[in-house]
Parts: sequence; structure tokens; C-alpha cells
Amino acid sequence: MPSDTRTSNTATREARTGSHPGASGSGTHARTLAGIQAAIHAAPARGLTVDFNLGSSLDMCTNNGGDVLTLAGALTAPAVTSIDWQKQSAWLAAGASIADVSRELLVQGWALATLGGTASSTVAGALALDARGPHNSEDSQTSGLPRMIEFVDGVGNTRQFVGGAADSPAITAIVAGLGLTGVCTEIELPLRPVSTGWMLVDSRRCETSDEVFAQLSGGPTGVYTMARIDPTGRGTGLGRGIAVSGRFAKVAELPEIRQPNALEYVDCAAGRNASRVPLRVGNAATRRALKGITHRTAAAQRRAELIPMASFFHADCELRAAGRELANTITYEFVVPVDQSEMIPRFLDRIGHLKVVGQAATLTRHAPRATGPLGITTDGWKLTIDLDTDVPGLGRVLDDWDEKVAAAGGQVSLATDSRMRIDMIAAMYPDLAKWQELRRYIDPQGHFSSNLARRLSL
Amino acid sequence: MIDGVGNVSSVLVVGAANPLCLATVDRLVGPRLSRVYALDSNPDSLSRGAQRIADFGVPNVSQLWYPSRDPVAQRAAVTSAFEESDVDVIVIGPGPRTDSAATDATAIEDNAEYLERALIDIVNLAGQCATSIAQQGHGVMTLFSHSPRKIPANLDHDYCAAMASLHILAPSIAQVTASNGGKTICAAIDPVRDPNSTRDAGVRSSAMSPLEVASEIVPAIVARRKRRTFEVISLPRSLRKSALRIRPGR
Repeated sequence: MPSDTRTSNTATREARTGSHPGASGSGTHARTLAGIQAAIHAAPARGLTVDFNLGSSLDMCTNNGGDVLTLAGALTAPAVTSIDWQKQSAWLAAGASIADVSRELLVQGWALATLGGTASSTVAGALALDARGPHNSEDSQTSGLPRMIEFVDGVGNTRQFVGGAADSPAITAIVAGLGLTGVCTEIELPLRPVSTGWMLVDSRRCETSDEVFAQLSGGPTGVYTMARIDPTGRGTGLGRGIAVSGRFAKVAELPEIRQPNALEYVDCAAGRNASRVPLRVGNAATRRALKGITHRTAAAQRRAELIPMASFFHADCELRAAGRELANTITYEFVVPVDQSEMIPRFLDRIGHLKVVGQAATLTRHAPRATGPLGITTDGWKLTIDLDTDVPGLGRVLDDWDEKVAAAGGQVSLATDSRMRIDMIAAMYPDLAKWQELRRYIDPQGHFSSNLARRLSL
Repeated sequence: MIDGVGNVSSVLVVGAANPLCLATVDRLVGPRLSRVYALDSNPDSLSRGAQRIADFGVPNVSQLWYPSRDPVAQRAAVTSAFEESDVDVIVIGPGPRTDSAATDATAIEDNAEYLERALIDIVNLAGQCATSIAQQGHGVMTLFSHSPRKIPANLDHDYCAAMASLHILAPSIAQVTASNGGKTICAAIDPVRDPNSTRDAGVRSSAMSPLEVASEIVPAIVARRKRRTFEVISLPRSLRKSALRIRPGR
């Protein structure tokens, strides 16, 4: 067995995180390819899951009773192995965080073509979740998707898959694969040239959901758009929110004092700040009142506000992750077809009647893009919302809503799921059988597993 | 495992004849509860308990009989349940003396025998369940016990002794459960308020109902709080509520 591997058979196990309920499983660290192979061969009966640094609150990243494999050493640093200026792509270490990758790329005037999820998640994690940030109308079917991947399958073999096209093996196997098909070691991802690490952001307070949809639909090309929804709106204010649109700033658009450091990466502090304030202030009524005040006190319109790119692309996800960790909220994410946009305010009305306080709700346009069989393919509107779980009847309402979404031709995200019914998956993901067949081929002994995979019998 | 909104999918009940255990299962029934394993050493109690559980609306109820005073067979019974599927919640409570104990010569009426069944067997099974939870990496163990105190003469002393002993042993069981992702909830019921403590109608009128006990502990079972691995819930929680149950004339 290679000396770099720390598995259950050795005395050098680094991290044991199984001391409390919800623990994600025992920890195994691998620093090289051989280390990953050894960890796969030594996987316990309850399987092995890959640590994407997404926290212990997502079922996808936890494996109670099993092992959790953390990539370290050469699999995380250097974050950027090489940049191909002609193809506008870079080879990245799969275990490196999005923040580290962005920091290294930005210095050379590049950014990842698609940025989303949390900044601390690994590159492989962002792909396994098919994390997308704000919508950009310029994005094509394959923008942001891997051009080539190297990974270790369930047998321990190293494979190289070509990406690029919508149905290429790399995309089918890895994108939205929930980490159940293999361990990525290196990924070639497309880049976009940028001249600063700052975004010029316009925001507008919208008092109705129609206004929000109009703002998100009619954005100019090349601009990233999203809306932060106020889940406490009632009556005509249902689905109200703040529509945000941003683009990468040019150097000349920065204040003079910032221009020399235009390509400096500024970390997103949203998650850190969230841990300093109590997320469960008072009762539901107090929380609802606070959410309402946040919306009402926001400026009616703001133009050309400078925001670090990390804060623009990752802040909402960081807040949600902090909420899941600190306040035990759950994330509910679903996409409804474009012509079913009225379902979004209806959903907010439904949870409002239940007296559930939604936190960090965001609405984005979800354009169709190539993804794996377990990814969201619906062309529509995506609502992501954090919900308090201490409300009786929430499970029934969400079950009912799952059915409504499926009947309307929409999909509920599996990546953030913590409660879906097994029978709903086949209705929402028609390619599930194809993915299971691929998984059986890549991992015949079922070494990769997670709480999500066990709960949904994936 | 217990999902994000507190839905339980499988339960193991040790002591299928215990009304407290049955009431807890009743309160845990939800859209995801698909399987309950009922364990008991008395075949009659087992089949009656399993029938009650099926009546609650649980689609699959498995009856697992275990012999009293046979730790190996008891371990096999618990292991067989865990081998079949993940078990989310385990409910353990010593069964009260059976109705027939007073009249039926073949029923267990010997105090030593009852203590072996209600204490030794239960502790052994609880230990085995705790180990299985630790291997599984998740699960909530629910123990019914008595807060140790002097008890009136009209209560069943052997039952109260078994319950008090379980209370004393609960932290050790919780330690095993917590070693790998498990959680233990110990309901410490005031002996006088435990509906199983006596068959004396006068005393029972002031006792909590099994469903009342279950309603107090179920929120703690399905709660998503992560940090607390051992929780003792003293019942009744409210003295006022408890006092209202006592008849003014007494």
C-alpha cells in the first residue's frame, strides 16, 4: 500500500468525524493517484464518498458509517496546472477550491467560464453539483463544462474522458454525477478573459413577481442576472425581490486606488460573516419581520456598484451553506418551465401560509445546458430557498410541491435534496436508468456511496 | 436515515407489548415510515404488538422473537434487522407485567424471572442496538426509564427497579451510540406518572397517557440538532399540567 494513503487499515487515519449525529463518516486522506486507488480498494461495506468541501449538511457529501475521501497534497496544489491560451482553457487540480483556482487564474487575467456554488467547494464538487451562478444569456450549451477529465473509477482504473460536446462521456459521467461515479483528479475547464476581479452591479427593488421576471428576462447580453427574493411578501408583493445584474468591470471603470490591484482576488466573506450573527433570531414572526425590513429598506435602484467577483458569484451559496450548518435549515431548489412562472409566487404563498420563514431565496433564469442524467435540464426559472425545518407539516407541503413541479415538467434538484420521495426521481429524471447503467459500468462493486444515494436508492 | 424534515423510514421496537413504545411508533408514523421491526420475548405480546403497529398504517411490520436469557440469540435478532436495512430509530422499554401474570400459572410471575426479562434482556438488547447504530453511523436510540426516587407502595417495584436501572445505565449506552454518529434520548418518567407502573385504577388516573409521553419525546427524536448526542427528557415536563390530572378529592 502506498505510504501516502491513510486508510482504515493504517494507524495514520487523520480525521474521524463520527462523534455526533449527522457525522459525515470516517475520514481518509489521499495525496496521490495511488492513494486514491488504495482508498477505493479499502472502501468499507457502506462505501466511500468524496469530500467536496461543501460542509457536512448535504446528504450528497455525507456517508454515515462509511468513509469520506479527502483529496490533499498534489491533488489540490498547484490549483492551476497549465493554461492553454489558444483554447482558452486550463487544467485544474480537482481537489483545489474554486477560490484558490480563481485566485491563480485572475492574476493572469482569466476567470472560470462558469462560476457558482460556494467558493470553498472543490472544482470537482462544483461539477458534481452542476453548480451554476447567476444566468448569463451569452452562455452556450456547453459553456463552463469540462473539455477533458481524468478520474479514477470504482475499480481503481485511471480513465480520461473527453468533454466538450453535450453528450460526451466526461459530461455524462461527472457533471451532476453527485460524486457517485469516481474520483476526479484533474479537469480541463474553459476560461473567459477578464481585466479585473470586480463586478459592476446594478440592482433594482421590484415590488411584484412580474417585475422580477421582467427584469431577469430582458437583461442585455453578456450580463449576469439573478434576483434575491423576499419570501415574506404577501398579496401583490408575493415574489417581490431585488433584481441584480452584473458584468466584469474594465480597469478604467475602477477607482484609481483599486486599479493597480485590479486582478487581485478578494475573498467572499458572506459565510464567515453569517457565522458571527445569530441566524435563528427570535421566533418566526421576528424573523419574518426582519426579512421584510431587509427588502423595504433596500435602495429602490443602485447603479454601477463595485462588488468583488467572489461575493457576486458565491455570496448567496455561502449564506445558504452557513444556514444549513448553523441553523439546520434545508435547501429546496426547483426549476419550473418558463411558461409556468406563476408557480414561483404560488410556492412562496404556500410556505407563507405554513408560517415557514424562507432564508436566502434566489431566483435565476435556468437556461438549458448540457449536463449529466441527474442534472437539471429544464429550460425555466430556478428558485433556491432555505427553509426552517422546525415547522410541522413542512414535509407534506414539500412532497405535495414535488408532485406539482413534476406534473408541470419541472425538476427538483438532487444535489441539495435532503427529503425527496424515491418515486419522484423517476418522474423528474427520465435518464436515471441510463445513469445507473453507466454507474454499474464504472463502479461495478458500488464502492462509491453517500447518504443521498442510500436514501434515494440511486 | 431521518430525512431533512424529520421523516423516519424504519423503526426497531424492543418491547412490542409496551404501550409507551407503541405510542411512540404511532407518533412516528408518517409518509416515509415503511418498515417497523418488533422484538419481544413473549410470542403473544409480539403478535399483538405487531398487529397494533400494522393498524397504525405501517406497510411492513417484521416480528422478531428472541428467547429470554439468551444473549447470543438476542444479538442475532438485532443484527438480522440491521442487515435488512438501515434502522433510523430504536425504541426500547421494559414491558410491564402482563395482564395474565396474576391468574395464569404459566405466565411469568416470578420476580427474578421478570427482572431478567425486563432488565437483563433489555440492557443486553440496548447494548447490541447501540453497537449496531455505531456500525451503521447514524440512528436515534430512545430509552424509557424512571428518574430514580423513592416510590410509593402501590407501584410495581420490580418494573420500577428495571426502569430506574435503565436510567442509570443510559449514559453508558449513549456513549457507545455516540461513538459513531448516533444519538440517545432517555425519557426519564416520574414513576408515579408512568402508566405502566401500576394496574391500580386510582393511581393510573394521575399518570400520563402513553401518547402524551410519546408526544413529548418524538420532537426530540426527529430534531435536526446535531451537537447533543445524549438527551434526558424528564417527564412530566410541566408540574401544572401534571397537577391538573390529579383529582381534587385525593
